[in-house]
Amino acid sequence: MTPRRLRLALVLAVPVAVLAACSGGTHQPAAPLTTSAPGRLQPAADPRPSPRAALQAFLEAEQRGDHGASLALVSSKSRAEYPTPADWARRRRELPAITGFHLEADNVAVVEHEPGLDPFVGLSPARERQTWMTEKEGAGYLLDAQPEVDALIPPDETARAAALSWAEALQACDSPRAKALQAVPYLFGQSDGPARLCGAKGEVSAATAGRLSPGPRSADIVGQYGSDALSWARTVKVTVPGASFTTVLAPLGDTWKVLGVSEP
Amino acid sequence: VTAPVHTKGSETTLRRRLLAALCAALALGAAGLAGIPASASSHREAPLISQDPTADNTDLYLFRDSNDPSKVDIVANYIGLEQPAGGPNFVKFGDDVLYEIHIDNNADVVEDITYQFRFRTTIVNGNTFLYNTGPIGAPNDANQNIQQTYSVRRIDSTGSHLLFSDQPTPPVNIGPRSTGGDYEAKYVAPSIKTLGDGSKFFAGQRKDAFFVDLGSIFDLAALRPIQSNHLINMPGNAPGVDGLAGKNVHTITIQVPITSLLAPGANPSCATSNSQVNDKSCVIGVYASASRQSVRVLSPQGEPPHNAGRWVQVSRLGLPLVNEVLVPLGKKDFWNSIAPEDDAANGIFAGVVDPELGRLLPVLYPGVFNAGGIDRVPPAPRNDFVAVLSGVPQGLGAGAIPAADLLRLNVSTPVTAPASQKRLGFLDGDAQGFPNGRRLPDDVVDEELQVIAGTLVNGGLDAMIPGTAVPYRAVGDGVDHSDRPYLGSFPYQATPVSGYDQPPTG
Repeated sequence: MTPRRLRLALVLAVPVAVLAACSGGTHQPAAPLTTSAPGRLQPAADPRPSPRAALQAFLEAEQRGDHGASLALVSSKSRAEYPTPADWARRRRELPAITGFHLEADNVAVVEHEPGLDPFVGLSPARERQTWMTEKEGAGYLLDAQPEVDALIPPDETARAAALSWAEALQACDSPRAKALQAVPYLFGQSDGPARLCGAKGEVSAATAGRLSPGPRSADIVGQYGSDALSWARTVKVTVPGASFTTVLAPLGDTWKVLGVSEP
Repeated sequence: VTAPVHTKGSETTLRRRLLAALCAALALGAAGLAGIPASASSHREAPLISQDPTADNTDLYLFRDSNDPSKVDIVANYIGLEQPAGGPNFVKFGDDVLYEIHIDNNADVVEDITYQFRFRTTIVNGNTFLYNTGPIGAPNDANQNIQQTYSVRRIDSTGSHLLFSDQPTPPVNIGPRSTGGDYEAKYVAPSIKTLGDGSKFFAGQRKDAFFVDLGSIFDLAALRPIQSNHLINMPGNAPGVDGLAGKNVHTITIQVPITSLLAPGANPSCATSNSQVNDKSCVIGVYASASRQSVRVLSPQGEPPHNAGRWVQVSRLGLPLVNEVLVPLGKKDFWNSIAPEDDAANGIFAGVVDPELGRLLPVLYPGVFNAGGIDRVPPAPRNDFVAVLSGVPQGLGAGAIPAADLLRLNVSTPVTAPASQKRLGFLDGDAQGFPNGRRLPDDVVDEELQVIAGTLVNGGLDAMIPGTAVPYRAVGDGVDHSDRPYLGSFPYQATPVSGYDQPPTG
C-alpha cells in the first residue's frame, strides 16, 4: 500500500477516531495493538504415572527440541520461575543440546551432548549425570526444573599428559601441533613461559593436575564460560630447566585441551 | 492561523516563526519533556541504560542489500556518542554482555530466529599501558596489545548452532601512526567472516550512521535554522548541526540470505520476486538487544568482577525513537527489560495510540496546532500509527499483522537504487524506505515528527498543516544526512573517525 492509499484508508478510520475522542473514548484502538502472544500461554501440565516415566518423557522431549512438551512435564513450583514458554525455551537453550541419554535409576540419567566449549552454553561435556527431584501433582509426577549435574569428564591423569604433549610440541617449535592441542586459538591468561619453550634445552615435566581456583587468574575463563569452569577445568604446572608456568585445561569429549596459561 | 505564507521556498518571517514553533514543539516532545539525559535514536534513552553504554543499543537498521538483493542486511549499533580519541583504553564490546538480534518471521511478534554474539578481550602484554606497541598491520597482529574476538550462535527451529568462534574484530581507529593506511582494506576486510551460504558477519567500530541535531534539540528544543523564532528568542539562524558528527559507534552487522530468514513454508516468491509480494510470510520483524548476567560481584582488590546468574535483558531496540518518544519515563527501564510480545500486556502501547507529544503540541504551540481554537494534531486514538505498525508500509492491508515494536521489512520489496533513495522513505513514495525496514540514510527523525504531526491523516508531505501554510515536509531538525558518506558495500557504515583526526570539540 502506498502512502496515498494509506491516506485514503484513513479517511474512513479517522472520523471514527475523532468521534470516539470527542465522546470521551480516547483510548479505543481500532486495530489489535499486538499479538495475542501465543508464546505467553503455558501448556497444560502433563504428569506421568511414575517419576521414571516423567524423566523419560522429559528427556525425549528435550532431545527432539520440543521445549513446549518438556515444560508440560515441569512442576508448578518450577514453572513459576518461567512465566512464559519463551522464558523456558530461552533457559533450555543456555544448556547443551541433548543428543542421547539412558536412565540409570528412576531419577538419574546419563545425558549425552556433542562435546564443545563456547561462551553461550559453556562446557558441553560428552556425558553428564543428572539427578532429578520429582513432585507428585494431581494423578502423577512432574520434575523440578533444576537437576543436580555432574559432568563426566576424563580422568585427571590424562590432563597432565595433555599438558605435557602440548608443551613438548612448543618445545619442538611445532606450532600447528600445539594449536591442535588447544581448546581455543587465543589462550586465556598471560605467561612468558610458552613463548620461551621453543628450542629450549632439557626435559619438560608436568605436575599432577589440580582444580582451577577462583580469583584473577581464572576470572576471564569464568567470565566466558561461567562459574562451572571452576569445577571442570584443571591446572597443570609445566616445568623446563629455567622456566615454569601453569596451564589450564578443558575437557573436550574424551580428551583434555589447553585453554589458558598463567605464571606458576 | 491565516498566515500569508505561500510558496515553497518562501522564507517569510511568519513562516519561519511557524516552523520554529512547530519544530521546537516536536523536538521538545521528542526530548520527552521529562528531564532525561540526551538521547538520539536510542542513545542513552533510558535512565538505567544511560549509565551502561557498553550494553546500550543505539540504532537498528534492516534493508535488502543493494548489491545482492537475495540478501538482507541487519545493522545493530551499540555504544553511542563514542569519542574517537578514547585512549589509552579505547571503547570495545563488553566481554560480559550478551548481544542478540531477534527475528520474527511468522508475524506473531515472538522471535523465531536469534543470532547471539559474545566477545572476548585478550591483553597480550600486561606490562605496558599501550593499546598497541607499534603500527598495527592486521587485526590481532603482534603489535595490537588489546585484541578482541567474538563468537556467534544462531538459534532457530532446528536447534542452536555455533556458527563460528574466535573471529577477530578490527582494531579501533587510533590514528595514522597506529592504524594508518587504508583502514577498510587492512583491518575491516580481514575481519569480515563469510560462511558457506554467503552470510557475512562483521563486528567492530564504525562511524555512527545516525544523524540528528542533538545539541540544539536538547537546548530547550531549539532548531538552529530557525532559532531566531524560538519561543526563547535567539538572534541569528544557523544550519543544523549533526550532534553525531565525528562520533563513532560499535556495530554488529550481518548480511544473510533472505531464504535463511523466512519461515518454513513461506511464499517462495518472497525471495525471488521483482515486485513486492502481498503476503505476510514475506515480512520479517527484527529487534536487537543486550543482556547482562543477573549477579555481579566486585572485588575489593581490583580483580575483575565476577558475573553469574541468568542473562537479563537491559537494552532493546526495534523501531527507532519508540522508547524515547512514546514510552514515559517511569516505564523506560522496564521497557528495556521485556520482549516486544509483552508490550501490550504491560500497557506499553498506550503511548502509541495516544502519544504524549500529540497532546502537548496544541498546548505548547497554540498558534500552529490549536489554530482557530481547534486542535490540529490528529486526536487519539491514533489509528494512523496503528496502521503504520501493522502492515501498511510492508504492502499489506492495515491490521494484516499485529502492531508491534519491531522493525519490519517485506523482504520482497524491490531495492531502490542508492541514487534514487529518498531520505523520507516510505512517506515520500520510496517503498523500500523506513518504516518498511530502515536504511542508513533514512531520516527517521523527520519522518516520525511528520507522522506525529499528522501528515498521514491530512494529505501527505506536501499538504499544509491545517490552518497554516506550513507543509508537513518542512517539519524536521535541519540535519538531513550523516557527516560521512556511507560505504558502497558491506559493512556499509562509514570508516570510523580516528582518534588523531577527532574534530575539535570547541
